[in-house]
This record gives sequence, structure tokens and C-alpha cells, in this order.
Amino acid sequence: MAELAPSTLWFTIAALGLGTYLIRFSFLGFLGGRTLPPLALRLLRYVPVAVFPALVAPQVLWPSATGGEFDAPRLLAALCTLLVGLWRRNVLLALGAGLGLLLVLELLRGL
Amino acid sequence: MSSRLSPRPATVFWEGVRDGTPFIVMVAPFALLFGVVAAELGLSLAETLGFSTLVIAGAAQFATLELLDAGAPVSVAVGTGLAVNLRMALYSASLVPFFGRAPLRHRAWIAYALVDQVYALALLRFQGREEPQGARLAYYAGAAAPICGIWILACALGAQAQSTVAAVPGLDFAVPLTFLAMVTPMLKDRPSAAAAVVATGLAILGHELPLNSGMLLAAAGGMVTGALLEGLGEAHG
Repeated sequence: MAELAPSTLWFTIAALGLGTYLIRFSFLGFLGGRTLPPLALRLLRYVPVAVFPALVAPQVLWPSATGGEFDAPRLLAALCTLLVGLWRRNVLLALGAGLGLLLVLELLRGL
Repeated sequence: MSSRLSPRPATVFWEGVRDGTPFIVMVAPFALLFGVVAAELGLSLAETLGFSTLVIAGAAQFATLELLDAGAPVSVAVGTGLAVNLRMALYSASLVPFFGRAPLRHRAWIAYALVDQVYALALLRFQGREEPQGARLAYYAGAAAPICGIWILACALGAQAQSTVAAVPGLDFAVPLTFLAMVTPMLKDRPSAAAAVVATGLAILGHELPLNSGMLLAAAGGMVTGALLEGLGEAHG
């Protein structure tokens, strides 16, 4: 770590913690029991199906474990998870299939 | 009241625990790794625990720590971490229909535990299922307990044990795969599938934009696509 005083580090932790909490609290806390307009409700229904793919897609193509280099086993593992998930609609089965495939491919690469 | 028709909160709490517990396997390696990295950068156990209990957000913790290590100003490190967490404002808004009328003291802890996996489990349960608010609170608490608990515990363990972890190949990829696996059951209609496809495409196009803004623009594009298609579907019958 570049020279950093403990007080600076604690300031960073506190600022990041407080800011993150306010982000999480934002709508839930300050909007409270007010009824949202229908258009907002309609948009919000698509938060999970929009946010999770947007988080994952760049990590699948440019994984941080390989320093951002494209990695075929990780792409295949992601496709495997996606297909098993769409086919069986089972979160744990889809995850197990993808992780299992990646483990096998990584072990094969080590041979 | 309908106590005979609706299950007791304790029962629903344990259903949440049951659904949240498997995610220990996915969260623990990431948390252990954070502990290891933090210890290698010279953070004390208290400082590592400060990150994992006060911030409780993996990607932002890594981003902030890496920037500090690279000598970036504190403002840049904190700003980047917050940008990474901005998606949680969307999670917060999308929980309003389910928890908006809960007392403030409940909304306060709901916000604290609003991490990706807990959010996804809650939505998988709440969407399309009518149940009293007490049951929803109990389920959320049950799902959050193992996931948030293991995050904090494993960060501390990683800081103590250091480099013995992360030896299993491929575990670095458990978190993206978790998110993918959790989203697939939600892709059950055309607007949802289209939202996911548009968000994926935009995130790939915008992955080099600064401060995580590509991800946020992609999420917005996906949400608008889903809402528009839903509206078109209604207009046509």
C-alpha cells in the first residue's frame, strides 16, 4: 500500500460506507409509503433483468482474473450457466453446471 | 386475522435462510479474497472488518482498495466505489412496492442488507406472489442472514489466513456466474428477455466508459426496452 495514514484509511472506509448506505436507503427510505406512478413501476419491474446482465457481460468477455484478456473457458462457463438456467429455471443447478464446467476446463488447461 | 392461512413469520424466515445458505459457497471465496488482498496491502484486521461491515459491497471494496494502493486521491477512490454501488439505488427503488409501507426501522435494516444476492432472492420470491408484509420482512431477513454473515466472517478469515485461499481454479468467476444463474428464471416473458439482451449489448459497447457509467447506461437502456415492449404488448391486446 502506498503510504497511507490509518486516519486517511478510516476516513475512506467511513465515507464509502455512509455513501453506500445512503444509496441503498435512498428510494426505500425517503420515498416511503408514497405510491409510485405506473410508468415508474413499469420501469422498475425490469431492474433485475437489466442490471445483472449489464454487470456480467463485460466480466464474461474481459474477466478480471485474466487481467482483462478474453478467456474461452470463462465464456463457455457463462453460456453453460445461461442455457441450463433457461432450460431448467433452477438457480443452483445453473450455477453448479457453469462452475463445474469451468473447473474441468481449468484442470484440463493445467495438463 | 388470517393467521391460519398465512404461514408464521418464523417459518418464512427459515425459508429465507434455506434459500440464502447455498450462496455461502459463492460469496465466501470472494470475501476470503478481499481479506487476503487487504492484509497483503497492510490493512489491520479492524480496518478490513470496517470495510466488510460498513460498506458490505464486494466490487466497490476491491475497486476502492486497488485505487488507494495505486496512490489515487481518497476522493477518487471513494467516488469510484460509490459509482460502482450506484446500481443499488435501482434496487432500492424496485423494493418500494414491497416494503415502502414498512415502518422506518425496518426499512433502515433492509437498506443495510441490500446486497446483490439478497436483492435477487427477494425479487425471485416477491414477484408474482401475494403475501403479507410480515412474511416478506421475515423472508428478507432469513435470506440476508447467511449471505451478509458469511461476507463479514470470510473477509476476516481471509485477512487472518492469507494466501492459502483462491487456490481452486475458476472460483474467481463464481460471482458473475451467480448473477447469471439468478437472472435466468426472471427471463420468462418477451419484454424481460429483450431488456436483458439490450442491457448486455449496451454494457459491452460501453465497457470502457469512465466511472462505471457504461453499466448504468446499459441498465437504463434495458429497463426502457422492457417497459416499452410491455406497453406495446398491452396496446396490441
